[in-house]
Amino acid sequence: MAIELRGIRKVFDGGTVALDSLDLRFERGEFLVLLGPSGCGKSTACRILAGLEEPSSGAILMDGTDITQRPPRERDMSMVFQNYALYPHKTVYENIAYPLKVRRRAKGDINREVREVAEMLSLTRLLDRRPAHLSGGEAQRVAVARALVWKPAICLMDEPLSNLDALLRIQTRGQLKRIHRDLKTTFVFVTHDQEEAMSLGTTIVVLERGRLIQLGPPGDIYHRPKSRFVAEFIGRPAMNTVAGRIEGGVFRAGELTVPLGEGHGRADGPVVLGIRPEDIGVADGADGAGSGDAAVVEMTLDVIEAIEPDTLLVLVCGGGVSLTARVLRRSPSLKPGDKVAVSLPRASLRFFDPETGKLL
Amino acid sequence: MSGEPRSEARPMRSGSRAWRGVAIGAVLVIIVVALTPYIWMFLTSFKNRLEVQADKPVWTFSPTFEHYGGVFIDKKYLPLVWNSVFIATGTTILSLLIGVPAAYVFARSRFRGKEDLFFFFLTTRMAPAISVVVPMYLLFNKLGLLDTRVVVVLAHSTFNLSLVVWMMRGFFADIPPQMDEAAQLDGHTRAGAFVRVILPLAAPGIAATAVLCFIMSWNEFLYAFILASFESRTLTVGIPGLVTPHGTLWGQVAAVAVVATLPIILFTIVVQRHLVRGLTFGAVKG
Repeated sequence: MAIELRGIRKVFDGGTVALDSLDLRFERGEFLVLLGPSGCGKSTACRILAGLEEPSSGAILMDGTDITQRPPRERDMSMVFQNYALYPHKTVYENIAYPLKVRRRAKGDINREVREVAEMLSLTRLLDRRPAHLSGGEAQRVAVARALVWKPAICLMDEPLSNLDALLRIQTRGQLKRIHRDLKTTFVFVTHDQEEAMSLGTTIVVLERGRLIQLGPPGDIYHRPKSRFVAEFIGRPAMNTVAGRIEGGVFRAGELTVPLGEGHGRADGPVVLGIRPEDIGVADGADGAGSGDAAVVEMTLDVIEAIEPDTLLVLVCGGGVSLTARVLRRSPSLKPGDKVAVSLPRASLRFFDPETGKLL
Repeated sequence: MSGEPRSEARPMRSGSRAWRGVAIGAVLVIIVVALTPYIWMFLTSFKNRLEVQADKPVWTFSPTFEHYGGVFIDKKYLPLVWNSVFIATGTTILSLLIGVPAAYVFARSRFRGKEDLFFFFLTTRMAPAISVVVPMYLLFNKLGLLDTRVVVVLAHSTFNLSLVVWMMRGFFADIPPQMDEAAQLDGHTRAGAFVRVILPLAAPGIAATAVLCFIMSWNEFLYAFILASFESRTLTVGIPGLVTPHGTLWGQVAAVAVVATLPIILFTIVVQRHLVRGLTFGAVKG
């Protein structure tokens, strides 16, 4: 039981290539997140899945059946739009009931199903209102209710949270997770927000310029990014990347010198070094020698950003090299201008090809 | 301290009051200029022949219905009302039936030459009517359709169609395309989404457009005069018939004019809010 996109390509009238041969397969019951910066083709992929956009070439298969030519209504999919697209002339009840009504369900069934889903999304007391009299969060929940009420195989969501304020977004995220757990509906969720993707997805698909860059569970995407793009796109603050060279088992960039230790097996040549801010250790004073599993380098503390409870430390050394470290506890004596010992655990170091951005 | 803002506020407030006065004055002038001829016509239709022809305007008189009876009963102008109603209604329905779906396509679809085609629709209104009506006369003469109500409906639809397409495109463009898409995912076909979801949403715009169509057709003179000047003539075409060799029957002219303007006034009052919105809409978005 799976949904498969095979070689999907979409070229718009103006010649813009939105999707370039996208191959993607996911199982039923997943919470699939399509993640990428604007213009990466994630919304187009979602709309092609829904049947709202026709691919220039390629096929969509649902459990092995080709559904590429099927109109939206025959795809067993629903959709939550970024602007919710509620029918303004209908009440909340009528909005939620509409897909059931169009599909000619019995009146009694409609009533029961609408009340059930309204209960689940705390909309019961709003059923008589019109969309104009709903808050953003309420309208969003109505849109979700309308998408779930007829129990489609797949619920597509195109940036459904981006019009909500930060707090409400986090609450709604939790609610969506609960719904996914309880209903086991397949979700395809489009977002440019990596935090949203990490928190919701069982599988994340990272897209860049119409191509699939990486597909995997959130942990994989975070810890084993396949390219510099993914490394920098996922995680806030982003992964540190420093362009330099490996020469004789030592990475050098400006005055930064990182011995790679025994058995690193890396060829000499230009590379980009990457390390997550939270993997960097910062010790007071410039002492401490390199241990077996971490390289220790001396750097100057430039800026301290207390984003409680964490602290971001911006570290610099000669040659324009800068690293951001994220620490949970900082020594109270640290102040800008101090020399500090920075430890870079070797297991956390990633190396990318400076040309292609691919993980080496 | 509290006195300061107040003393500042006062000249401002009296200033805005003065502007308000000017604005009201301007509106009053416009109303007087616009309404005086109409009121004069209205009064004229109830005056007797001497009062109509009087050198000095007569303001007090005992109203008479002789002109109404004279023109609608004796001169058998009553069927002209039906002709006007039939033609204006028919034109409105025909123009909407063709124009509304066309406008929807213009608002939603992308196809080559769309804007050129849209502009072409507008240009059909730019040619002087007289240049179009002669070939129309020859055409309908060959078809043997002259002096029928249908021919006037067809003629009026030619110019009303562009009005419908022009106005309705703006209304449709204002409805987010996600509405169509949501309706399709909710189980409609594309056509179903248009009929069941988009048309109800566009209803205010359709109503405004319909009224404008009706008024355009109802008031139209030249096409109706050339193509149907006997059995199927409309009220507007009927009026010149009251200009006789023995003089113009001003009282009867006024009576016909009052009847001819009544539905327009009624319609305008009913839909004036939508009408203004519809017109500005098309202007900005068209």
